Amino acid sequence: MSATTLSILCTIVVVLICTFIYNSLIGKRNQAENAFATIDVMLKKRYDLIPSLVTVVKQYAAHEKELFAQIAETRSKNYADMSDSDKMELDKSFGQASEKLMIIAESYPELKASDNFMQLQRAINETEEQLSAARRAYNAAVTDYNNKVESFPSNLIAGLFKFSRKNVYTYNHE
Amino acid sequence: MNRLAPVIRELEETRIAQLTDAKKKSAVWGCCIILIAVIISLIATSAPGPGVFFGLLLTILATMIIFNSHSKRLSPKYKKELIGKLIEGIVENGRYEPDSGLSESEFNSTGLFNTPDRYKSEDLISGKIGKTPFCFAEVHAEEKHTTTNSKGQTTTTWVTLFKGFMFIADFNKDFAARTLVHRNSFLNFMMGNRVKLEDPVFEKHFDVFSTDQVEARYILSPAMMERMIKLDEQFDNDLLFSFYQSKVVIMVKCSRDHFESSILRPVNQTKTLQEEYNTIVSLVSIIEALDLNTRIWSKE
Repeated sequence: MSATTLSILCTIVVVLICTFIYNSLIGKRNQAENAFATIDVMLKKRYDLIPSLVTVVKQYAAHEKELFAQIAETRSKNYADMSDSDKMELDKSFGQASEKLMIIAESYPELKASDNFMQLQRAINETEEQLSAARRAYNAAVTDYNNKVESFPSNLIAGLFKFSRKNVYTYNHE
Repeated sequence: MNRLAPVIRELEETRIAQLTDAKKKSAVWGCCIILIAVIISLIATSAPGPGVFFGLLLTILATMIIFNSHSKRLSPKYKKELIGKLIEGIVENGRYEPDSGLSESEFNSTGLFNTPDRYKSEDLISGKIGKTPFCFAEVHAEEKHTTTNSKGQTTTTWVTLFKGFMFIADFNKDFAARTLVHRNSFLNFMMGNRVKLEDPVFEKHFDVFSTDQVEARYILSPAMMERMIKLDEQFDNDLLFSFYQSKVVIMVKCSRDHFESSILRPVNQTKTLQEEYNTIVSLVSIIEALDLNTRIWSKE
């Protein structure tokens, strides 16, 4: 086998490996983006629960409604127009509001026993569980992507085509 | 057990009667077989030796058949009256159908095994604990393996895909995707749609595959993963799980046939009864162990 043929073969193998790594990076990045879109869907579900939450408070615990002023205000914005940071803020304030609701329900037996509250409680638990699953799926996809971006030899291709590390979703509603 | 005492006493009397009958029949058949074999042997070889030998062999075979058929006569009564009552004591409104089982299509729907070539299921137990309906049955699924050697001779062997209990319960959350929880094995690398979970202990025990990454995590919450690990330890680290159509299916391996009687084993032997009782209790307690009665999500 001549040196030329050998170098052509080597080049083909290198190009094939690079293509495979590049496609794999694209796949992982798309997976992470897709997982983030799922979080968005779940956040929208939470956003749709705000009117029910505000109504339940108004009906049974009108004295406490100022505690929910912030979340009520969030509802005045259109979800489609919200930026990513607005959505993160919504996630945080909804978490706080639902916790407050559970606490005040202890002092308002009528509220706690009402069908509306029980239905709302179930819906909140459901969206929280789904949102938590979506966050975990996103973090798993991001970790997978970051491992690819940082490990050898895929880090060479990642550097060349500017694939940068993504941040995992940290949820803290303190 | 006190509640069962009259049933046990009655069954023990039936067993002794069946055993005596089987012994009598075996003795009569044995004598006849040996006599005929000796006569044939004397005519053919002028020596009684071969006749005695073959006569004894045939007598053993006939005795086994007689004892087996008498045990089968005891079985329906044993299952209906004793096991049925045992189940009633554990599960209120529990139902026991000894001749029914879980269908082959139900087994295939789990997605955990290849399609079996031979399938048998019996001893169906169903009921409801709290808000959770459940059912389980003994299942034996086998696959046919045919090999041909260099001379063109074919050999057929039956390989067990699964033998044990298939337990199905209504799950406390609604979901549409199918999520499979296999034992952790490097051989699983060929299967697609792997779900990598955060719990390292869970990952050490199991490999999860799902048609939906988010739904798999919705089902397998951190608390659920912990419960599944504990349950797995309880069942000697041999469980397989399948989640589909808002149901959970748990495959509990077991090589022994349960709820069977024999005229050679006294019905009042507490050890055997206790074992059957423990088996049913441990299977029913899966609902509590997985906390399936907690219905705080949209599914009621």
